[in-house]
Amino acid sequence: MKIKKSRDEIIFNVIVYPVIALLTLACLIPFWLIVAASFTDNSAIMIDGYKLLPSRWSINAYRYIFAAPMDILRSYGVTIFITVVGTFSGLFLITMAGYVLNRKDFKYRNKISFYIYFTTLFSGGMIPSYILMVSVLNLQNNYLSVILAGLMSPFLIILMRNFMKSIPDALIEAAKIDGAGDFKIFTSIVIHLAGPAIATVGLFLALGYWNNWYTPMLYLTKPKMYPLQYYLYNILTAQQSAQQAGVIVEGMDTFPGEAIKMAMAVVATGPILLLYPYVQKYFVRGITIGAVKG
Amino acid sequence: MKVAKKLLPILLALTMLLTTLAACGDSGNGSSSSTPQSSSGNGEGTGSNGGEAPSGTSAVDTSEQVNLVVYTFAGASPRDMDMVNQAASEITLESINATVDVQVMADWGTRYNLALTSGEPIDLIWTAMWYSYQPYAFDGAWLDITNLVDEVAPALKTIIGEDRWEISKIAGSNYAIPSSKNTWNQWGVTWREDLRKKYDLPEIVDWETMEAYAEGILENEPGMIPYCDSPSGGLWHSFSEKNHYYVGLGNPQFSYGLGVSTDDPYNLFVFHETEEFKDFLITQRRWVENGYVQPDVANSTDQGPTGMLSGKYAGYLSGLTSAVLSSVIVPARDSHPDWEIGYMNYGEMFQWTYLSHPTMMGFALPSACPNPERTLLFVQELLSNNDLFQLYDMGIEGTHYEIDENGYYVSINDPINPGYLQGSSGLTNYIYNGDAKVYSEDYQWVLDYEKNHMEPYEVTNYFEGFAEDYTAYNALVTAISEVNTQYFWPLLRGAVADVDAGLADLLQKLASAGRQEVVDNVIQQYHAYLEAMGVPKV
Amino acid sequence: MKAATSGKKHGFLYDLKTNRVMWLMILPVLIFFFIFSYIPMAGVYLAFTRFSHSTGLFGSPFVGLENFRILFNQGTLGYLTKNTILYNIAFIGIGNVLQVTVAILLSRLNSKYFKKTTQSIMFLPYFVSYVIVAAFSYALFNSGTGIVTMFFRNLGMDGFAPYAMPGIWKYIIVIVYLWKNIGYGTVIYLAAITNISDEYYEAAQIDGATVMQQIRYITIPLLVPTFIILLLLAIGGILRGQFELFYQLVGNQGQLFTATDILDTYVFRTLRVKFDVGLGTAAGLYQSLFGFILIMVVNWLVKRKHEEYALF
Repeated sequence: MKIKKSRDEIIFNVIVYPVIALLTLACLIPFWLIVAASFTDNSAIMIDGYKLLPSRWSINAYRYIFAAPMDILRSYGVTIFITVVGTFSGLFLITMAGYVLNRKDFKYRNKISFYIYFTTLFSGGMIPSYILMVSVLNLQNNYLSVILAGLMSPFLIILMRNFMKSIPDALIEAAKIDGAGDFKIFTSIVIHLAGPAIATVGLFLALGYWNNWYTPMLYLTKPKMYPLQYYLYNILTAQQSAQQAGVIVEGMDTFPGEAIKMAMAVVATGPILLLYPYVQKYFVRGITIGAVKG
Repeated sequence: MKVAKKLLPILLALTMLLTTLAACGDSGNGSSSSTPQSSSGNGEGTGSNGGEAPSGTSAVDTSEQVNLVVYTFAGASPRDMDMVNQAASEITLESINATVDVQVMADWGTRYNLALTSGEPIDLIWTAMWYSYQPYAFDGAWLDITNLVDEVAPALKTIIGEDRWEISKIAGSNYAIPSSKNTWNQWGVTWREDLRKKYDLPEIVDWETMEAYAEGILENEPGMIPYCDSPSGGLWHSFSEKNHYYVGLGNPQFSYGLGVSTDDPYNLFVFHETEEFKDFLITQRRWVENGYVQPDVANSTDQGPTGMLSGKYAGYLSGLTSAVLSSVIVPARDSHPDWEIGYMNYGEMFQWTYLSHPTMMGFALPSACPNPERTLLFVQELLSNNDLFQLYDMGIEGTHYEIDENGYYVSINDPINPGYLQGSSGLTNYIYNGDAKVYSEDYQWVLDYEKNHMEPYEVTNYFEGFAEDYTAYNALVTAISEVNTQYFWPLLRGAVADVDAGLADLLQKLASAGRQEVVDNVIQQYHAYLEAMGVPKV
Repeated sequence: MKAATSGKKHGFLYDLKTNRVMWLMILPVLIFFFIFSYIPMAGVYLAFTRFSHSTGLFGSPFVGLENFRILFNQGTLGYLTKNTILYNIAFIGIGNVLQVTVAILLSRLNSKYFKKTTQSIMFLPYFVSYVIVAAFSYALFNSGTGIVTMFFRNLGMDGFAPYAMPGIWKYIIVIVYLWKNIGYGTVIYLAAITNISDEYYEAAQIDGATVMQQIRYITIPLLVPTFIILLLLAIGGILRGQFELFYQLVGNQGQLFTATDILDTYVFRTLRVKFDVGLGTAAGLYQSLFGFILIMVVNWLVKRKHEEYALF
């Protein structure tokens, strides 16, 4: 339904479009520099700095990273595995939790919310967690440690709960009167209506897993188990440490240090960027499409 | 979409199942049983099972097979580490009935302390004086092996040398395995000899000539920066050598501002107040202002070797001799054959060198070590069994390296993605079997340099072995360290414009942080330490 | 299940029975947090011990508030707390306002293509690791060829050398933080906006409301719950900082510390000198307590005015 554009709308557009465009440019340029630098000869980066177009073209950095295709494919696989398993499991559990915490007839919901939230305030620190994972649960060198460490986030649970507030209680009441069980209400009604929420939380979970190198560093000691971020980080330190130990490394001069850092960033980010537009449609909508029809 | 949502629980159940299966298969037994994925076979290259079983084995009960976990420091894990571990385990199973799992601790910043504090079962772990080896010793983190060595692996004493074991003692006990290798850990300066000759600049023999070279570069090669400095102080690391006294006392290094000379070992003085220190600060500041080094070195990510090779820098204030060889001299031969690389170690420049203390960096047994006897036997084996040592040093012959007709080490690794480079386990640089070590042909240059240019100027290293017990005044040490981070290091890097004011600030802040009390304590402990070693008063 | 008859237990067991499906649905979460958060929480005890390897984790002597005394005596705790809180207020406050604004503006634009593209691009900074940010910032701010440095020098400020000027870094740090998180935060608000029924807007348009009026009277009020929740969630961590951000940008440039040091970076440095479990945990406990008291107060205040907006 198109109503003729009123004057204030035009003014609005005239101001807002350029402002947003400027902001977007500010976000784009650094990333562009990274991509450009990844295709630049390393010496050129050192001397000329970061430029929008490679001052001297070179794919050396990528050659280094992909020199062992099996290894890098494996680390991609590891990351995908961890991300998929973690995201699906976590999303399922978090969505259920958000739903339950919203049900007005669930008397303990505030206490449980506090129980969950409290864990963000107090923590025993790294050491008890490390002992728990490694010594007590014996999960060193087991992917489960990384998956579990990122599975639940109080932030996301509360966020989910909040998004679900917009689902009218009337719907749920009606379903209950119809005799539907709590889980059935969840699967048939709530999930369908919480599209944007699920997409958002799922995205954040997935990003968390994808970018995470900290828990793999702690709990995975076998190089073959490294996920992508950590695998790339190792490539960089391998040559540097050989240099420091005084070991002669063939082809050291062509080791593209700065360019490799940039190429690593591109390689690590690429796949997730492809996933993003797919998820995006859930929360960027036009004003002509409604969310909850009455 | 609806169908997908129904499938979700099923998917979930499946993944949970898969994960549980994965859990069963992969439970962390620190195994050397993981099969290597790379193409070549396993362990065939090692051939014989090595030499004699070292004496003393009979004293230890080796009826039960154990797995030894060793953590080393080397930056990143070599691709074929597992392969080498497997081959090595075949040898050790025979001799001491133990498999070995050597792992490179890539992220020692976080994991090291975690692992030690949480009592993770580790048998042997690397340690360094610059990484709290001594405080940990006082704190009980290391196993006291003084008597254990005599009981279980007395050959270690003879191989490494009784004297090294003696001077490695802290408060009468041995907490680490001393290194048997002679290492010279002093820094130096590297430059482009071809450019120096081209512009007829004086030979580099001291600070003035270093400056002359820098001036020459600035004039004749616009855009090039003369030296790539290091945030740890490239020029600062020549201060000791220039003035013939050691300034590294303190936790962390340099923090108390104490200097001690080898001519007068009992005399500790505060070098902050000396003329030469002021002179150094002024020089460093001048270097920064004139552009001899890159600006804001604390935040610069430029590394000397890559910087030089890229052509951005005409030199760098470098580290070890061996590092210069491997990271600049050899690569430059291929990429820039017309270049000539000049190098001079500060020790040679100022004719004052010293060998690193045997426990400057090495290995210790954590107090929670599950198999101390077997671990010592393993170390003994490494040092006496040449095959085992060479395995960990160079990898598998035929897969990772070859010995050429002159007896030199030649790497046959894939240059871009090496499987196992020499020394990449981090183990063999410190547990060093001199008989078995094979150098590459290029390395001869380092050996010659050390022999001809470092050895002649050697002074006895009394100072590095000093272990300060600061548990009584821990808080002061931390406070002083903070003051240094804020006031000392910027000065040192030439980042403070007004050197006089900066120095005055530093002294005043250190005084109010309680430096005097710390210094008094240190002097007392240091004198006791010297006396215990039998150092004569001059 | 027992039939609910007797007095005290009536509530809980009865609830378990009637709502057992819901309890079951939330049980995994409860168990998870119990194992992975509450059990390790016992480690807080370490803050009151003087840890030593010889006595181990469970045998170290109890020293009461000694560690806290040490922390407070350094004298630095005061300005560290101030820095941390001020930075966080800037991050949370300015950050959220910016993100809400961008989300609202985006949602009102007509071109779907423009919206999707700009929103995706705004997400890119999130993927740029702080290590690279550090490299870029050196390229911008170094006193030799730094782009920003040259810019100001050309304007006549000859002595402009960012790494020696503590004063400007608060702006740099805040801007970098905003830049990095803009995409991430906008997503949340966009998702909340899609929940607003279009009928409101259509009705308002028919009534002749302008764009700004629609935003002011429909969008903003309906976004307030999300805004408040995000604020509340952030407040609990007011003394914790973006460690990576500060560590990479400032590094070891000691001259800048008075203006840029936060509690996390300070503790990190101290632990580097000597890894003291007791001290580290004590610092963490201080952060936790501070945040805890703050959130309890703020949440209670919010609860009094709008029950549903509260966190718990």
